[in-house]
Amino acid sequence: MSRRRVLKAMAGGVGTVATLSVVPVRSVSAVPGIPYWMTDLVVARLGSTELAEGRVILDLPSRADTGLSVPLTVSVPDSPMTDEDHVRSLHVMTTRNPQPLVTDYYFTPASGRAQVSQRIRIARTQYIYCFALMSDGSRWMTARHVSVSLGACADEIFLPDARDAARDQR
Amino acid sequence: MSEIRIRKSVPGSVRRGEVFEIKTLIAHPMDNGFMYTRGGVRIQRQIIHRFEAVYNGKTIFQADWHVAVSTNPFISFFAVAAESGMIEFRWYDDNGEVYTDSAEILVT
Repeated sequence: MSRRRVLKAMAGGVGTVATLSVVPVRSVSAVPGIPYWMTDLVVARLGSTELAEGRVILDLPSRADTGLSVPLTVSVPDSPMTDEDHVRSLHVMTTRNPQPLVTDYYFTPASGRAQVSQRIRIARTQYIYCFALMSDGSRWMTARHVSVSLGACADEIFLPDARDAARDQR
Repeated sequence: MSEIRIRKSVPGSVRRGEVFEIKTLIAHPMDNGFMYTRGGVRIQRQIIHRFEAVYNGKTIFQADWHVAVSTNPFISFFAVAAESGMIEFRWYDDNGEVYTDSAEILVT
């Protein structure tokens, strides 16, 4: 076997591994169902928990050094944003922040594009959800997992007190 | 808090019907009510809980913010260029204050 052949075989092998590895990664990042306690919040905003997966894009880093300021972009890129067909609202919620609500965005056809960027606080590694309500009444959702590194000052000032304070309130 | 600082980025002129991006940033501590001073005193919640963009008198975009929004909230969103005029931004503080700023827009 010549050197060239070996290299070719290796390149082919790498390609196969890469294509194969896509499948498990996708299945791992499958959108988890919403937690039971989030039901009320979702119903209050969308009217029901009958949600279809897709259309909403939740863009944020999968790893964050500090949870104090994580860039977040939510969008519904395939919406034409016309009077007949537009995104009414987008809602971002967290599973393990002291308070699940993050932001609620309300659009009009004059918004032109259903896309918003902000920076948010994430207390610890968890799933972030985004829900969309369309003008035709359909409801869509997506979720992303975010790892927040430990040891950042964010954990000292945001996390433990946050949990204690939440407990005190109950 | 009269010295609140606001920064905004709005294109000076856009073509009619074009979708353009608006960015704003307001200096605000966004105290989430979960933090304590070194002396152990709890810092009361004081955040901006609502943001609005009003284009020639019509609300085109609105956001409700909760405690998970970072300090000095930045927001970027879009609008369709309809008529020349003013875009007004309003931030509603928990203490009842409303901070406003506006930008002129020229539609060609």
